[in-house]
Amino acid sequence: MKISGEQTLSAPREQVWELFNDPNRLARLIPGVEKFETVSPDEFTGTISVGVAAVKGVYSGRVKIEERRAPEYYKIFIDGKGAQGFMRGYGTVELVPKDHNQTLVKYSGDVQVGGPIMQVGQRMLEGVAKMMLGQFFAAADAELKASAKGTVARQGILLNFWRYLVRLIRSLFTGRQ
Amino acid sequence: MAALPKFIGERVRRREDPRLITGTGTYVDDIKLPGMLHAAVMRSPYAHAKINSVDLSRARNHPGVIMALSGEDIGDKIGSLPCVAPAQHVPVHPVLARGKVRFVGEPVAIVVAENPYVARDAIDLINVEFDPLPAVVDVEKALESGAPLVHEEFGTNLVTRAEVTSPGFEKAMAEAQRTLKFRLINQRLTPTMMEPRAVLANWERGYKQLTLWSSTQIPHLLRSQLADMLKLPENKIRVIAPEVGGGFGAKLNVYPEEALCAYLSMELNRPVKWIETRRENMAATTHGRDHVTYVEVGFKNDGTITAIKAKFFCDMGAYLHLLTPAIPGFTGLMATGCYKIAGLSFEQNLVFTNKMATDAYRGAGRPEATYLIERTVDMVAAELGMDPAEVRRKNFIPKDAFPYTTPVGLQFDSGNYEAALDKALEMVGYQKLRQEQAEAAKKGRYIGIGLSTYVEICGIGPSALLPPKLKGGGWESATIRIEPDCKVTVLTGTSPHGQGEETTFAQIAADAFGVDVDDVTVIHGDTAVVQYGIGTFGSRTTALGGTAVLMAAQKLQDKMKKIASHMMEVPPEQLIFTNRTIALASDPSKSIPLQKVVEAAYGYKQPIPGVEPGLDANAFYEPSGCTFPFGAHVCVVEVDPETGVVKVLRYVAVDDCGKIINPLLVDGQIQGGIAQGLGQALYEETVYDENGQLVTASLMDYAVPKATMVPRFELANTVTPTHINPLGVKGVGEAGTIGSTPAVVNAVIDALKPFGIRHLDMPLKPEKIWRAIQQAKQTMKG
Repeated sequence: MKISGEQTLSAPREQVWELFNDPNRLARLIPGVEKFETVSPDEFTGTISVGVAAVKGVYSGRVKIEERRAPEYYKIFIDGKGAQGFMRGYGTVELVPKDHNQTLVKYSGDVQVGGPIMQVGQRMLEGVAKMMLGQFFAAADAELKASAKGTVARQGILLNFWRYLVRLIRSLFTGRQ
Repeated sequence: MAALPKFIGERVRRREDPRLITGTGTYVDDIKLPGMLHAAVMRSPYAHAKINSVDLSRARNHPGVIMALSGEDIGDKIGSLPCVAPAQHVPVHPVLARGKVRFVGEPVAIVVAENPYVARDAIDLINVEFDPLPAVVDVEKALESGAPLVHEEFGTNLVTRAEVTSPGFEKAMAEAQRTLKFRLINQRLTPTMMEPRAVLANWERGYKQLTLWSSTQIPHLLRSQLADMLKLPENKIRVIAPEVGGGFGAKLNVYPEEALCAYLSMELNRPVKWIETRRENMAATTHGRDHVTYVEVGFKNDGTITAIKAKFFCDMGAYLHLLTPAIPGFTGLMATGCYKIAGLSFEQNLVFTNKMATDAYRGAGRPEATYLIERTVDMVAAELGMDPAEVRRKNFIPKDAFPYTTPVGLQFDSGNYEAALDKALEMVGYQKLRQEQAEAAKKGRYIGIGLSTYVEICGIGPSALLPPKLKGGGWESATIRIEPDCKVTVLTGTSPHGQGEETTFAQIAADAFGVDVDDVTVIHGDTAVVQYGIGTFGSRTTALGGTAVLMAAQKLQDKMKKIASHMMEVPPEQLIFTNRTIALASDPSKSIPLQKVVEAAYGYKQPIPGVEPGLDANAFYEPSGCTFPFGAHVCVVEVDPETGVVKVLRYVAVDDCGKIINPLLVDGQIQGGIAQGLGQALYEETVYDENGQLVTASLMDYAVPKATMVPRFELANTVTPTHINPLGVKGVGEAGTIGSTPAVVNAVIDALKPFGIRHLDMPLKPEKIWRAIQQAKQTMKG
């Protein structure tokens, strides 16, 4: 599965970079993260709960960050498996500064998915991945806005799904994500 | 009482249907035994991976789980799954993977629990450490050096290479004035029978006897193979195939779950059931077809085809199932079709890949052969600008040439190919249709007419033609008993899974004894009740099993005539069976009720010299040759150039399966067969991605044709009997599938002719056609 896209976050690049390199904050923002441990500054293990179509499952895995070039780029390797299948692959994240203290996040990835999750959900995998990414960016945007005000945004699956929908609907009118 | 009719040749309704359509038949899953446990199988998510460890501890500790086993736990306690067909490299095929997995869906561990839901839940608690390996998916790349090896011990992915060249091939090719070369893909298909596989095993400790219910086409052959795998005597295993909801060849096999349930029942002294899910069925029940073929055809300017050369790459998958490497042989041998082509040369490369094994699927090698030759004939017609019907006529084996020996030595029993084509063309109104096609073209409508004239091979055959390691040959068996109440019991060694021989065999027996079809009961599929038999596959049932019924009936007739002769004081050779009596042939009013003869045989109060008591006879029929049914199919389609959607406007099929026992059942076989063949032409395709992941793993992604996608069929028959068996029948179970696929493809390509398109590979999905049209438009502009 190949996936790529871009999202705009309401914070300067340095703040986005800081967030994207803080595993504890990220773990709160990624939908479905259930457990999270730091192995080394660049390597993490954890479990994440994901449902695709009829195939719902918990996946445990390892994430490794490589080619870190502050404050603009890193490459991330993932290797996870669960009873419903496995996923292995990599992704890249690139941060581009924009006007009005905003940052454009360009991402792309190539992930090999197998097992029942692939067999039943392959038509939906890409959609689910995009939705999860969308939820993540909605959560990240809320987090960044809140920290600019010196507060902490509330996070939660339903709340972030709502934020995701609001952003999605807004993007329909503004023509950008 | 009114005289009883003769039943052979009548449209007798299927006697199986009332129970099947009212849900009162018994399938394996309907059987519930006291104390029964349920098994679930953990399968590989990887196409190719090393197994580092299998941790079953959490599954074993799960409440309700009785036992969980890995391949290492089984070890050598269950022997390798069998492949009886000869091949250079036959790998060990463990029931649960050991050391390595080689395809997505390969069984890795099995769990037995108090109910199927717990068993299924426990599967998720198994932790297997896999070390993924690169997978080999493409059948041609699998033979390149450096390709990952499915079985390292062989040092190659080549299973076997077979080369056959007919005498005089070079000369025949040299006589050609023109040649054409092209590549054809006969895509992988998923058989998709309505009832997935199902197994129930019950070991009775006190009797040291195993009863195994399985949704199989071959109860006796399965028993023999299980006896080997489990090291049990054959007379301590009873295999029962109750109602079987379709098989299409995929249940002509021996599967891991059959041996595993048997083993687990023996270990636990409790019945163990396993019912395949649809997803398992799509991943881990044998697939069909999957050939890439390079064809070279030599022909003359008048359309005469002189020689055919073919190079096959046949995808066997990761393991060899019961007959896997035998199936492509039929493709090569039948590649000249119903034509008098002087030279045939072919090379077949059978190849391991990281996919489910292929094996027999409705037609088993002959659909591939028919597709090859029927596409070839149309290519020749297109190249020469000739009518495809004319090219066929030019090359047909003439009707007075039978028995005909093909360039590679097959003996065709009988045939009249031109008569079938004439009838089909007349039914469809061919000349008028061609005019209508031309008219429509002027209006921007793309109508296509596709022909397919096929011949196939059935009732195989003399036992010497079957694989030497197969226990059992090409024969078939029957026992007939006339019970004390004058009712007739037929025990057949064939094992129906939808074919309806409870009806056809009753017709044969009823006519033999002059009784009503409802006086006859046909029993099948139970090795403790029925004498050894071979099973139902390869359109063999009527030609072989039906003949065995007739032979057993004749033996009983002889005995009953002796008894009647004694009672009536007339010579036995002057007697006939009619209307529930044995009568004098010259004067049927002089008769004795059948019931009286039966009473004399069982009561035996007055001994009859030279006649034993009882009425029971049994016959084993070994055929002297194979039968070769044939036919002509015409498909008319319209292609929408805006969307690429194919609409089938008409479908005419004229099939010749020799004499017909029951025209209703022949029609049913042809209709189902055409639907399946059309499925291959337009919709069906088993897809693995480049990593060996099965993409078409559910019926959401594997497109079996639905009723709305299948046209109304216009069916007819010609009747050219065979001399091979006394019934004169040839076989019809696969004919529809064999004839239809090329007819549909030829029609679509014919419709696309104005775009200069000569060939597209199946399935002819709208997207593929649309792209081809767009590309052709670009080319035309340029």
